[in-house]
Amino acid sequence: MTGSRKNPAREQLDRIEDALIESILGASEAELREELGERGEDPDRCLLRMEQIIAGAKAAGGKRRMERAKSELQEWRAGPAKTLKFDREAARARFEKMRSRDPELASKMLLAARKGEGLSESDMEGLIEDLAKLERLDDENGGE
Amino acid sequence: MSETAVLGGMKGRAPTMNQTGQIGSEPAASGRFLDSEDISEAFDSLSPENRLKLHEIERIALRGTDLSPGDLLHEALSDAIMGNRSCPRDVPFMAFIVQTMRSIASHHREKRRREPADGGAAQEAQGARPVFSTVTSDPEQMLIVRESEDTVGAIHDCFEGDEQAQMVVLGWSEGYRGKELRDFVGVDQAALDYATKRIRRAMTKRYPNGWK
Repeated sequence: MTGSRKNPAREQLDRIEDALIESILGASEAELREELGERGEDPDRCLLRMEQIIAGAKAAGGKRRMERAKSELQEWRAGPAKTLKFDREAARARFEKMRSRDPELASKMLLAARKGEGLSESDMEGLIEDLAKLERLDDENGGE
Repeated sequence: MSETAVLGGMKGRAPTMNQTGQIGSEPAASGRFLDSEDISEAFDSLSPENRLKLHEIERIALRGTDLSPGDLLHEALSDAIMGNRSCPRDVPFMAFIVQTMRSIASHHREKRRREPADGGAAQEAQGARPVFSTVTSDPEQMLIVRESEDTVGAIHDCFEGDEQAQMVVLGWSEGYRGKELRDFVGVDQAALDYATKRIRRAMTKRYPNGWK
């Protein structure tokens, strides 16, 4: 603690607080009820107040947890779509590059198209989707 | 369970604090820490005795903060439910909550101490960057030191005429406990327990919301 080295009195107060708290932890319910009564406080009202504090904290905590879960869900919903789109675009670009660099592949695809055996638009989409998935898996495995 | 055993589980072991507001910072559902359901159950199963203890401890821990009675407990409980502070399974729940309350109060005190008396208005007016001075000759720091010394004096004054109680408080302020404290005061355990009870009663009466 920065302050205590310059302030020995504060350190003493911290130690007195420690001892008082330990003494409360060691007290019996009867002693505590008696002490509260001496100060004019009703122990049963204190217990009721504690019940309210606990209920309030549980409600507040639950609400905050729900808000956190909602925002996580929203993020999760937004995240994969963006990633998928990005993956697919990147995969399409890579596929086009592969095709342009590999004359054999390009000619086979052209031949297949002439024979009516070429890839349909949906076949092409599927191929790109698979390529994107493979690349994602590859990334997750550390490119192994 | 002895009083030292209760705090003993947490001494030097602040509740694990996650990054508040960080997404995905939920405590593990099982494993080393209690999850939020365990925490809720632990609250519900607190005995009336422990509830009264928390009530009394909060009053002491509030000292020097701008929190009202109930606020500290509320903050500690919601932090625990939220998972901002995690309770290790091997630590008694009471010790965890007490230590959490004290940690929150200490944070509030530190924050308050760093705030200039005018809330920073003078610095803002001069367009200066806020500076947290670490020099003891700083008038505000000196004032804080003086206040602490006055409080220590006022606490001792509470037991004017009760030499035993004064000695116990003096021993506490030096960090003595158990045999060391008994030897220092020169009494047996029964007399020490009785003096401790007198001190507790006098202090909670004199400082119902903790001292400044």
